Amino acid sequence: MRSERLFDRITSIDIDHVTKRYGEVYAVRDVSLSVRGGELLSLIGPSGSGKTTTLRMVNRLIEPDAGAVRINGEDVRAHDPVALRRNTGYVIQQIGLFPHMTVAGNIGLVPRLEGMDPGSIGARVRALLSLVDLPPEHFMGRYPSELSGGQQQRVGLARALAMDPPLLLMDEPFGALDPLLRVQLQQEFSTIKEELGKTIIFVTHDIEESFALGDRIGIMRDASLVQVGTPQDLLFSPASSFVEDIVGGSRKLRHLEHVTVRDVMVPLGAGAMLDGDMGASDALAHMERLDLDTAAVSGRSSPGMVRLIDLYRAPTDATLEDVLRDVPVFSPSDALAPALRTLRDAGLAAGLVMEHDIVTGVVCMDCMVLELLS
Amino acid sequence: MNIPPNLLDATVQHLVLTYSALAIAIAIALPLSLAALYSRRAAMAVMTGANLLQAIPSFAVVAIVVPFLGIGFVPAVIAIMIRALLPIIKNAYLGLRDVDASLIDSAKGIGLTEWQITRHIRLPHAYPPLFAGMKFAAILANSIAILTAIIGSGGLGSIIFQGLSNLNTDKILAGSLPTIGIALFIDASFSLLERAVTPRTASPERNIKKR
Repeated sequence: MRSERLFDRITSIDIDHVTKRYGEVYAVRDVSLSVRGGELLSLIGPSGSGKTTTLRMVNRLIEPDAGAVRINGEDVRAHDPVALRRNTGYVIQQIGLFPHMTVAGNIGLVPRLEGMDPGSIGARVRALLSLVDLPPEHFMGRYPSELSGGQQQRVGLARALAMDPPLLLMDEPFGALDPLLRVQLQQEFSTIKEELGKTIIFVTHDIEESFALGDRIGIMRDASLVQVGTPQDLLFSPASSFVEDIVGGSRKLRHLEHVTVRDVMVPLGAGAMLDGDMGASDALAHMERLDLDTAAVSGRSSPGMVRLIDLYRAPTDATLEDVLRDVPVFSPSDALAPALRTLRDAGLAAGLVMEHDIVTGVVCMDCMVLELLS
Repeated sequence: MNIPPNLLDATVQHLVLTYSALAIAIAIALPLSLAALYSRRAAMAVMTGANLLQAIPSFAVVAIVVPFLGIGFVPAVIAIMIRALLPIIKNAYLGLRDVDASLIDSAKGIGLTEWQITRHIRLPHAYPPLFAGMKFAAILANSIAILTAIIGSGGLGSIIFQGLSNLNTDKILAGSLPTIGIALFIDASFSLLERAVTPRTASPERNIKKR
């Protein structure tokens, strides 16, 4: 029996107003969520918040009472559940390796049931084991009881990838591992993820893990989706105090690597943007009038900044071009931490932010602190 | 010691009686335990029925077939079979049912059909209890095959009963010693069979500590 290849790549997964009830209790209540092709969306929330139920509705392990899940626009209920699952990788916390089968038997089971020939199955198993950093010659013949927890989870991942599914569903895959191992596997998985380019929905209750792996994060509580967004969105514009608690105010600093220049930059008004050809004395009058301490100058060759104090000292016939100070220029998507480091090393308090050759704002050493205080 | 001339015939008859009843019991028990796996109502019916049968004394089972089926070899086989059914059904059903939920979940999740889960996951898991149940059923069949001599099944039981009725020690021993031998053989052979079919969960050559 060979299952149809249902989708070669995922363009979208739309979870559309799904509800699942057990008796009077809602497991998931009117949850809508769009997953983009190629992203890793992490679902996070306390136990019982509905994240696992939401995940399991994607591969029809649970059928919603209301609403629908669509992959590439097509309702998953249009697909045979077995075919759907063979086109979808599935990894769970308990791993669920079959104890009476070797590592090769576990990974090769579905390919075997799909009628793949033994030669290709062997090659596939070897390739997958290498991918998850387990030398095939040492591990193919082992039984699950002969593997450590981390090794078992790697085999679990390899098994989920056996049919090269474009979509991967992972339910707390690293949850049972000790913290050190978990971080190591997260890092490895992060690399594998880039190699694979798959769409992944990843359930976790560990916010660190969410931040480390998720392109976007969906926060769930009491069967509902509270907020979806990038780590930055959640850090800087939490939708509720619940999100704030989960993300944790103090964590803003710990997750500095996710903060970009865009998040802290101060946009420049039109008045703070001066032409390089402007005379220094005119500029001085202009800035005094607007009560500006610094202004951005769109210079002929490169943009720069000018401070009020420099203009006082400038010769009356000088133009801004003559007195502007070169400052580092950043793009809004640059990570903040290295940007701040550049400023510090240059001994400057601020730098310019440019987008499409237009100066749009200023980023300053204090911006980060101000953002944290607000 | 005076060996009865019909001892060999009686032994063969006894073995045929025991093993045919056992074979039929297995043939009936396995589909029933599979059915019980997929339907809660079937599970209730099978388990209740099997437990009730077990509560009836062996002697009564042997006696009760007579009004319905008369006496002779076939009614005896049926009486033994009824008795042997329970341990097989119960062990097979429990072995198939009590598989770690996470194994079933991951099997479903990677796209196994219900039948493939039964075939590749549940059944191998059920082998040890299943064979233990069959061994127990076989030993039970062997002892009830003695009782069925009363309803004309023939076999070693008839020699024992003849010996008992006129206190002929030679006949009693000639009948009971082979029965004991058969019981020991059943135990040993089923244990070997169980070991042969139970899937390995660790490499024989490697001795790695479990974590």
